[in-house]
Amino acid sequence: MSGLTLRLRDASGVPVDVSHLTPERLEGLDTAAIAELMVWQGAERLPLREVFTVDGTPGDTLTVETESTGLWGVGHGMTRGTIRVTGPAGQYAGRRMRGGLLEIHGDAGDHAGNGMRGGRIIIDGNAGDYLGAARPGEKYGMEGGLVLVRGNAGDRVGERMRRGSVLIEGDAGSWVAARMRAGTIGILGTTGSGLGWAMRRGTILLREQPAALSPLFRDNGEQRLSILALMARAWRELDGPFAALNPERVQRWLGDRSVQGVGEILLLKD
Amino acid sequence: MKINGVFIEDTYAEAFDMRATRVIITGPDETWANHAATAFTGFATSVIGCGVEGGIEQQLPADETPDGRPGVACLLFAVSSKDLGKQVSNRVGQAVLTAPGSAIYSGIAGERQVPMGSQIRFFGDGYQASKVVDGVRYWRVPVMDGEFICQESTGMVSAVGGGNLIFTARSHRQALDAAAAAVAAMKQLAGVIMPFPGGVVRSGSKVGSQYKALMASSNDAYCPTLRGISPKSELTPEVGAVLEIVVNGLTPDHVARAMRAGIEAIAERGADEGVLGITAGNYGGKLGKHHFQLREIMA
Repeated sequence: MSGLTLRLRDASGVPVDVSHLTPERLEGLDTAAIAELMVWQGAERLPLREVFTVDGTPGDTLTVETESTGLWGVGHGMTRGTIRVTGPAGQYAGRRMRGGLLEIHGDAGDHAGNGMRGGRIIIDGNAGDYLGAARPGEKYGMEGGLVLVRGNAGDRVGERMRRGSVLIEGDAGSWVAARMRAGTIGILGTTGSGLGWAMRRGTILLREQPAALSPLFRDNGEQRLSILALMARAWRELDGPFAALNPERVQRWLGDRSVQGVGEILLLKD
Repeated sequence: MKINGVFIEDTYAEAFDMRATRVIITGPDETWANHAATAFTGFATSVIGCGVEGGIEQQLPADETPDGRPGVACLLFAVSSKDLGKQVSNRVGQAVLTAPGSAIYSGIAGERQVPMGSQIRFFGDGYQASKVVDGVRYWRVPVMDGEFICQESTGMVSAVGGGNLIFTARSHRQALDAAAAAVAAMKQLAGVIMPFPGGVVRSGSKVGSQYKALMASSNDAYCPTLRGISPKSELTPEVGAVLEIVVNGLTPDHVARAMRAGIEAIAERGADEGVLGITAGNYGGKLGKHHFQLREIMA
């Protein structure tokens, strides 16, 4: 495989800020120059060569190999190219991403996709809490792009989310889509309490009956919605169960009516 | 030049720059998709009185439409982006929003966009919702049979309007049969529409009129009932009727190919079927930038 490979030397879990290591920011640098870039590891600012082993030549793809959960901000603000993480991606993976592809062959930590506006994150393992969510004090969570989680996700998926899609093949925790403004969250597994709390707009697509649905979501009966065909067609290129989805009939709840919300919870009926 | 005994005059069709869009209208089945498309492209024969020229370009099978339902591709042509946007919005509101089960999508990527659903959404009275799929915004407007899906905008491209063929025949029936054959052949091609009824216009016009208020008036040079008195009459005694086919296309090449298909279909009927000659309409070459020489097209 062509491109640059960085292998994290330290496996202890000390945070390593890699938010400045994106394909476009490394463009034009040779391997020697990259090895001399400075990287924060914990409270120390070190040359990259002391934190990572460096292989290959810089290109459109950057591979980061790690056994530590310490990576921080991988893919921050990236606009193009591919970053492939082998192992756990740590916190804030894909934060403020604008384009390109972030592949995580492992778990992602908390706050993945925070402030994301474009591009695609594929997480082969599980995602932590606050996936695509706003941090405290931020007006919006995710504002575009697509995140696919092949495993499970933690609590507060898509909190204050405004645009884009979060697709979870497994289960999600509590407070999914809390205070959501718009966008799409698809979950094929189970969901916890607080689903759609204070949600104003947007779509939650479920395959499993929600464990606890607020009475402030009003049942609008079984529907056939053409928009689902458009969404499903966009998911065809994804590998896995979302690609195979052919949603026709859904049960539709609208809420959260406590905030005059018209967000929709759709339960697949086929 | 003669093809199969049909005289091809050494002249050209003069055509103009226009702004165009393609939309795809889908429905629960072909019938209902066509009801919506027919209404959408209705009363769109000439920009002079209709503001837009439009027609059905082709039928689309379900696997070629954005939502996987049977669809119809329609082309609309206007003289400006402003007119095009206004006509698209009006026609979506009156002809597609109203048609049971319909949805409408952009069918062309243009250098610019004209509004399509951005105003119609307000029909939803606050219950409308938007959904961005693959970077494209769609509006979902609740209606009595479910939801009307309408893409927010549609692509606009520079296009060509006013390509034409004028042909003479011994009788009205023979002119009609030749016209029908030509339009059928031209409809096989993508990227063009023939905006007049059945693709054919009988009221060809000349520039100007004796009435000051009129910009155009009947082309007396081709009116068989005036051949004895019109000072410019082009008609020989055996001409019984003259018809014209106007063709608008997305590019000059689309128009040229359609004109060739039309000429071939008319000429194939030949002099034995009463077709006498084929000519084209122009204004001396000063008004339109595109000149389609009939003999070059057939070379």
